[in-house]
Amino acid sequence: MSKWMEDELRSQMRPVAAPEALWDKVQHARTQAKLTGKSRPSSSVRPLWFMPVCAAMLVLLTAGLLWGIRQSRGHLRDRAPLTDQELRVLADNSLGESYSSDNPAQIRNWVKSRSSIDIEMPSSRSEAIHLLGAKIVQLHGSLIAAVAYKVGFDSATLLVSRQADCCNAGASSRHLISRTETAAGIGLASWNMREQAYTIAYAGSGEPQGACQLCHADARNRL
Amino acid sequence: MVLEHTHDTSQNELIGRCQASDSDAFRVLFDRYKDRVYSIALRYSGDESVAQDVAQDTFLKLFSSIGSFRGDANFDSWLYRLVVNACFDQKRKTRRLTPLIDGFLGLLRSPASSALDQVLRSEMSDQIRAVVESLQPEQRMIVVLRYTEALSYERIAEILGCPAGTVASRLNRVHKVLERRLARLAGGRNRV
Repeated sequence: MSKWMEDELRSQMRPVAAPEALWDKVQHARTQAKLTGKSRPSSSVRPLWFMPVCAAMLVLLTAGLLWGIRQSRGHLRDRAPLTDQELRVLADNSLGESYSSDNPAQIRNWVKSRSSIDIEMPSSRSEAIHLLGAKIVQLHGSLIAAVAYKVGFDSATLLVSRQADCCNAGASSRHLISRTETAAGIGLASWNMREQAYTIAYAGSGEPQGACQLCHADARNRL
Repeated sequence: MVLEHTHDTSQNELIGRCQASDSDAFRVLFDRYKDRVYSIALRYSGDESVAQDVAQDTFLKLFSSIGSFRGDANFDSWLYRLVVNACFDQKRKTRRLTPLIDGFLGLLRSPASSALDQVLRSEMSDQIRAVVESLQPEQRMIVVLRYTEALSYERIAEILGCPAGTVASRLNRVHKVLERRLARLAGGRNRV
């Protein structure tokens, strides 16, 4: 095996320090085990949000946000699309196809031409929103579309995947946020609508509902 | 008697005190092995929450069964087997959230390297994680014991109860898969 790969493996798999809270967790479990007579307590329950499909979307979150931020690092007015070389590398890395556009109709058509995903975005929206483009990535056999955009100077990504068995199968565009989460400063909001699963990831200093202005121009006032 | 948190405390004495249900000795033993147990659990599961559950189960099992540990056996090997079994017992397969986001933020905070370099490194990490997570449990454990614990083939074979040749051949297969998936990335990095 080549040395760089050996080094990468050692780096990726390197030992880590146990969290400080582990001792308390063990002690608590010991106490519970003594009280209940069980030798081993069951593991803590994890939320459904950690189901594989959502987890796969979060894998994308990293690439999607990184890509979006990379695109918008310069001055907003001077922002340039990803270079050919960067696009080629991203494609080579199986990260899927990228499309740079600030036109919601073009983005919608591009995504639809490559998947069964339909991302309907209104043509008129808040002036704070600046579309950057979209990506299509295949993960675990499912296609996921990521729309990168800016809310002022903050970055956001909308991730969408088909989910035939989800609720709200009708044509209505009304939806309820099914889950919100903040992790390491990144706000996440998820919902299902028209047989598609949506997640917005928002990394910024402003109000998280600002990211909803992608489709709801009055979101900041309404939410 | 309160034991000092030092490695000077002999292993046999420490184990003897644990077998006598000395709670201070339990704490010293925990402190001595917590990082090792947690690292194996984390690298195997890829999930901090799962890793804490596995570590908790391992230490509960350790504390409850240390009375049956024979002094002439290798304690490290015995502990390795406990954590390996706890990993295999952990049925729920989950993926991490926080490390990914932490990694993402880390990339944003490192202006020294180019954006493309960062993309490549991030993708390299993702590919390695993806390959490791796609492995069968025993194969994945071999990778963890080899690269997290830096154990020899013979030691891994002893812990997993299989021939050293099996360890070598399984690692070889993993290396080939990784080479296939990462070769393009390495090429891209060299070109930049």
